[in-house]
This record gives sequence, C-alpha cells and structure tokens, in this order.
Amino acid sequence: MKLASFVATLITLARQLAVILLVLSGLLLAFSPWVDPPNIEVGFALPAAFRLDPPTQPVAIAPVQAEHVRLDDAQASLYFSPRNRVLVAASAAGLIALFAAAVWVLDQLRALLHTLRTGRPFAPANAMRLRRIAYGVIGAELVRTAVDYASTRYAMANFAAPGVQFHTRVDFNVVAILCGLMILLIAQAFREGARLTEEQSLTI
Amino acid sequence: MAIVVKLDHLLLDRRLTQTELADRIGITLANLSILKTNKARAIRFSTLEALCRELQCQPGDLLVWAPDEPGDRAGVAADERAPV
Repeated sequence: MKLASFVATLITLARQLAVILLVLSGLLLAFSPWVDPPNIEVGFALPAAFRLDPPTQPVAIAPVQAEHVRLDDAQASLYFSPRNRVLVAASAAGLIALFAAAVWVLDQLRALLHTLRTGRPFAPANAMRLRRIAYGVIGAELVRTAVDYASTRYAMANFAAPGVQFHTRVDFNVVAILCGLMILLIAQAFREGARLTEEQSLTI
Repeated sequence: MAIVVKLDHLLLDRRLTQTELADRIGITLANLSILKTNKARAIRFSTLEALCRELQCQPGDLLVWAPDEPGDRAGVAADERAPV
C-alpha cells in the first residue's frame, strides 16, 4: 500500500496548505474594512482574454507563405492593485469559499484513503464520499467557468490598451465534467461493492 | 428472514456448548451467534455440512421455513427475483 501512503501524504499536505490559505483569506476578509488600498500594495491577478488589433499590432510573417495573420483569443493574467475595499472584501470572500471547498473535498479523499489503507475499500460511507468528490469536481468546473467569464467581462469593461481588444471568454472544460461523471459511476460501483461486502460478512 | 436456524434444541440434545460447536466446525463464536439468532444472510454449504456432521442431523433438522410475518413473504418474493 505504498502508493496509498504516498497519495495520503500528498493529500494531507495539500489539506494543510488549504487550511493555512483559508485562515489567511479569513484574516484578509476580517481586516478588509481597514485596508487602505491606495497605501497598501495588494496585488490582484485577473484572467483576461484579448486579441491584437492587426493594423496597430501586426504579426510579422515568417518566410512561410501565409496571409491574414493575426493573434487572436490570447489568454493572460491582468495584474493590478485595486483601489476599492469592496473588491478586496469580495475577493477574500471568494477565496474563503474556494479554500473551504478544497478542504472539504480533501477531507473526503483522506477518509477514503484511510479505508483503503485499513483494508476496507468497500466501507458503506465510501460511495457517499465519492459522490461528494464528483459533485465537488463538477461544481468547481462550473464555478471556475463562471468566474473566468465574469473576470474577462470585468477586464473588457474596465481596462484598455492600444492595439489590444479585450473580449469575454467562456472556457468550459468538458473533460473536467466527464471526470466528475466518471467518479459518479465509480461511486455506484462502490455502493454495489458495499452491499456485496455486507452480504458476504453475513454469510456464515 | 423466513428461514429459521434451529440450533438450540440440537445443542441441548448433543450436550454441546456454542463455543465447542464453533471450535469443531471452524467458525468464530460471533458468527455462530449470528447464525443462531437468524441474522445471517446466507450459509455456505461447507458450513452446513460441518454443522450436520457435528450435530449428527439433516439440513432439514437445522433449517425451517417459517413465514409467519407478511414481511417474510415479501422478503422471500424479493429474494426469488434476485439472481443466485
């Protein structure tokens, strides 16, 4: 069970890191009413999507024969220091929700791994834990997509640069959703396994 | 469960304790207790064979079908639908 031990160690470290970040986010939210953005460098990074305006930002053409070359749908992080306490507080609240969800999912994984290491893979609670992990994966992808879209929309509405056209982006990762659905199927298999294990334990 | 395991009078007749019987047939006392109190879901043929051997009886002496409660009939019907 060395692999399980290694994975359990990784998950424990990740959980501890998530708890530390959760506490720091809580402190940021608690102290946000006293944060004076103009005098404190609070760095923000916002996902942004843009295209370069060909007439003002032409792309040099290599010896390869090509026409109408343009740089489109570029993805970047927009770094800035906000001058708004509400934005700081809202971001801290968002981080709290993110890290709390991460701690919750990692707790499910830890409990699941514990049953594996103690030789009880089909413990009755594991099916429920796997379902929760699946919902966490699917929910995280949906929230990430929504936040990404809102961020690119915010960047488009509030920032400008010569030759750069900001646009919104819907970056929906179907693979993540499929992974969540696969975990749901595995949860069904574990539920059946728990039933068979219980039946087997009561077979004399 | 409509199948009842009749162990008590057999143990009395053969003058055996549960502990002795469990040791002879190679199961734990806890499992024998599960069997005796009708909490078992299934019994292996090897266990049934060992019980009949030690108690000098037939399977029909040990296992009795007693559908006294309406739930027992529903349980039996459900089991009949389940694959063997």
